[in-house]
Amino acid sequence: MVMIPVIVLATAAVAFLLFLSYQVWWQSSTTGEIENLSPVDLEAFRNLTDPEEVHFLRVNLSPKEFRRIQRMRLRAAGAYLSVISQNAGRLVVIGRSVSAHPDAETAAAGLDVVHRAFQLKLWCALSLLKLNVTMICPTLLSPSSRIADRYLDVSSLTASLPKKLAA
Amino acid sequence: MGIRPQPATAESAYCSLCTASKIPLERCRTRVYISETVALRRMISLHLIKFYLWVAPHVLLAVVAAVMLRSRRYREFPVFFSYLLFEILQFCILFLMDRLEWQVSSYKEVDLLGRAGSIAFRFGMIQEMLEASVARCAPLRQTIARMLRCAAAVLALLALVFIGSVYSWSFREMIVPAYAIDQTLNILQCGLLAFVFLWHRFLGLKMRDFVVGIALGIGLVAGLEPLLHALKDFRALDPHVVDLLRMGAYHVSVLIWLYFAIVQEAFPSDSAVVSFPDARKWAVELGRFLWS
Repeated sequence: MVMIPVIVLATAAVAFLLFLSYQVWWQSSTTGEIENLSPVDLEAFRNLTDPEEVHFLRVNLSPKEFRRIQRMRLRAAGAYLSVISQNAGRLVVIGRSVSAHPDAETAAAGLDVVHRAFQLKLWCALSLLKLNVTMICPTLLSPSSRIADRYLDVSSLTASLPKKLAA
Repeated sequence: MGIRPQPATAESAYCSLCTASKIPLERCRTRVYISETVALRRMISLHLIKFYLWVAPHVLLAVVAAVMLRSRRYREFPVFFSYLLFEILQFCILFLMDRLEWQVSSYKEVDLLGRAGSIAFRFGMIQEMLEASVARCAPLRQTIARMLRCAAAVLALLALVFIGSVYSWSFREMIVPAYAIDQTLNILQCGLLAFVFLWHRFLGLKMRDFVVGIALGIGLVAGLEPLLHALKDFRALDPHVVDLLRMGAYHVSVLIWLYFAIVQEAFPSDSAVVSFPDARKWAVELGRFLWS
């Protein structure tokens, strides 16, 4: 009985140290170079999250059929969100790089990209969480399409950086 | 047959045994002398090892601080640098108090204050590691500070429940229940360190080698501390061995910090992970995706 706390704490310590070792190994194995940005069809994503489209389907389909179709649409929307989230992470890296530019205006633009890409990343994480909850009950909740606008906003900002970097 | 007198000393007790076993008395006395010498040597070795494990890490901390000064990293990691100076100062004070044979109660008070300060500094270091991901962006640093406070509140509650459940059925066995607070804070720090690593993975950012080193050092000490406390409290191991293990873990942590302070980083600086030409290239490609 006396050894139970020792065994529990020993197990927790070993598990934590293994986790730490794995994270250190993972950090040392990544090169820090980012992969190419993945293309995202924002129109298709907007269509999947359009509330009018959802209403149309709800009215014209049986409840069972609507739930089935809506779950498929939500899975597809989730895949788009994952790609947008990955791209947002890459945009954070690009923004951080540009924020070190000697020109103050360019550096400020880079920081702006970091700020917006970071917010986009958080929004994507929350939206994915909401999407998973919506999968349980697709008739009650529907995902938001504001992510597409945010993504377009930060992507346009990033795409305008080449002019500043060339200056 | 009369009643034998009780042995007055360990030697006489041992000699009584030898006499009973019919071993010559001279050889018996030699054996006692050798065993006492071995015990003395063992005691001296233990004392020397403890002294080394007490002094050496703090000497190495001074080396780490010197390396940070030379490479000007103290500007990027001011909290960690301050922690190094605090630990060195604390050691100097305690060392002097030990040499000058101050009162044990005063020594304990200073030691307790020092431990509290170390724990507070470690929380500051964790926040510093988290903010390193968005170092130059002030609004994001505020967002991260808020996130860290929320995470700390949730993890503190979980850590308290965990420690309470671990000790609740053996409360009578504990020597000093107050150390449960110390253990809760250690487990909280472990949880926050996990949060730092997962945060960087979530953002897809590579942590700087030095940040990884700091995290590893803190994690080793914070991760082992609750276990070592339990080993001592429940008398599963000799307290001297536990002290040696604790000091040894801290020594290894300092060596880790020294290694990462000296090693050349793979990338010249944290923000220049991507060069400007590459950033232009990706931004141009992104524009092509958006407007095609």
